[in-house]
Amino acid sequence: MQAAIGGSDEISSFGWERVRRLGRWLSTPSAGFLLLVVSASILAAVVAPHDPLEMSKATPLSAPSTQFPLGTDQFGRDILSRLLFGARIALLIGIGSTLTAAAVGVPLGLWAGYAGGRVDAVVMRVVDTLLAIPPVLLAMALVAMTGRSSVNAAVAVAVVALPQFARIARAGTLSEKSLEYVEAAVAVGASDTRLVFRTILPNVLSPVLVQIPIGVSRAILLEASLSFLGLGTQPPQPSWGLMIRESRDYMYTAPLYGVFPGAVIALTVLSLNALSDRARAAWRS
Amino acid sequence: MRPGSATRSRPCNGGDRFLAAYVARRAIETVVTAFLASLLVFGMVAALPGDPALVILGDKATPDQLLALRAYLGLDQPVPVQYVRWAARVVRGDLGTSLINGMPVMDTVRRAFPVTVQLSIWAMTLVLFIALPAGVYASTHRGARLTRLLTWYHGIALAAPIFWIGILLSTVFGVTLRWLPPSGFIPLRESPVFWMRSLILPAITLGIGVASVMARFVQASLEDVLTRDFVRTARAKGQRERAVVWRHALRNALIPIITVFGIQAGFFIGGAVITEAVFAIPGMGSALWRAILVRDYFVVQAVVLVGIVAFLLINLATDLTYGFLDPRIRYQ
Repeated sequence: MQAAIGGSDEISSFGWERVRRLGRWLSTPSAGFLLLVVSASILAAVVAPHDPLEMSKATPLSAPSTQFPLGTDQFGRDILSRLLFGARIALLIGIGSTLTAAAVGVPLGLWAGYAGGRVDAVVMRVVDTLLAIPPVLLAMALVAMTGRSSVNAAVAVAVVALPQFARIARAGTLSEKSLEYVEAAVAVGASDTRLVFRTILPNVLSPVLVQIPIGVSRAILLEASLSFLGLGTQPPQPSWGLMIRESRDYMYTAPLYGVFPGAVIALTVLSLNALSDRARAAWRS
Repeated sequence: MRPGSATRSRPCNGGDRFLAAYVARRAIETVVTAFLASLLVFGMVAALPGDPALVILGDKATPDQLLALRAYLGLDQPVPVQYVRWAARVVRGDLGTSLINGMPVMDTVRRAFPVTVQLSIWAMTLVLFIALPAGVYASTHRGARLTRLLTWYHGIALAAPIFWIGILLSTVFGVTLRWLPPSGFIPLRESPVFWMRSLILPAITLGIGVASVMARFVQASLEDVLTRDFVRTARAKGQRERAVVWRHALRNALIPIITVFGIQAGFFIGGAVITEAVFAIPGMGSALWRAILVRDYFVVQAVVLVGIVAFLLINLATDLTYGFLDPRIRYQ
């Protein structure tokens, strides 16, 4: 990339084209919204107008006002502030559990695909068995065993996502394994570890990366579902799913209360899905 | 889920010449997976930390109760023996006794299962009525304004959490407009009309997301088929466009659609759990949810097991269906 500094059109296009593409992508509504959610989760403590846990003297379930832009909940807590801090929980669990699933699932898939034979058969049987359990049931069963908490919910979400990553990595490994560059690496005497992690892994990484935004969007939905059922994040923490659960009791008196967290979940998931569609399209072309 | 992202392996191991062999192979695969899944379900209780009997019954249990439960679980036996005894009981239809109300878990399942099936049938009907026309329209009117609108609609329907959709529908049509009951369930025996009314909002809630996934697959699958030669032939014969699409093309587009249906069944079962919780419908999902909240482990175990078996059977059925529909699959 040294040449790019020189600025001649032909060479600089390599670096600048990427920057331009990134800029174009960042200017889409979905990227804009995701950026908003990410900044909210990082800067929640700075930008939130109120303490999300503070039960203020404000009227409970008040309508939106200048002091409380989205109104207050049943304890007089500021809904906007709770949404902003909720972004932190959603992203932490969404991204954290997806990355955990990838960190375990991908090496597992690489190993199964590379070793083949009995190892492959055993690993893939286990993976297929996990896939044979409806995701929500699996997550609920895991939480039933480990107890209700946001950490256990995050672990459950990671276990649910794991098989997908293992399958993708295995499929990639199987198709790469027979290619000439891998044979060449074998011929020069590369060790198994080197072959798997240095030769094969970089070449199966793109489908894995494409899976990540989809994984995060599913993880956010699943965490919200678990929290909605009272099996994930526990009160008084501001989880989006939990806020919808709590808003239910007030659908007569404060019908707007539950609309906000639901809309934020839907927009976040919609944006992530759009991002992954783009990533997939870019990867295919 | 996007069109084309189905990672399902088609049955294509060599050597099978006959439908019977194909059916047998899929059946054996299903049994093996069911066996492995049953190990997991068994492990749910067996792997509880410490003394499972103590974890299950809690600190207030009397020594007699603990002894009885330990004997029932066979905790003094080696784990494989425990599993075999458990599996033998399950196969005989004995799913244990509820730790909360002392009723056989099988009774709960017998009462709850039909309710979930009724909800699912309504939701599935709705899925077909939305997905087929929407998918056919979008594939035959590419770039039309309504098609673009549908694309947006599907995106939102897939992103909105199912419980939120349920609550919104319940608030708008149940609480504000009072057109339909906001929650609850009336058995068919009591009043067919109220039974239907009580299931309309839940069926929409459960079906809306799956309908959009299916519509997108119908669209993608049909767009692909409509470019094939036989469709051109059908048109060249002077067939009306409606017949070309619905009779010739759609039939050929059905195979990937049925596969997706099988994959979606897993989301569908999970969705049913959440929908039942939102609308207080006394099906398997509500039973599971309540059981987790009060730590009624045998009910949790039973419902998860039934859910897995249902999912496996639906997948077996869809695989066999497209084996019948497309002879190429079973000969491969």
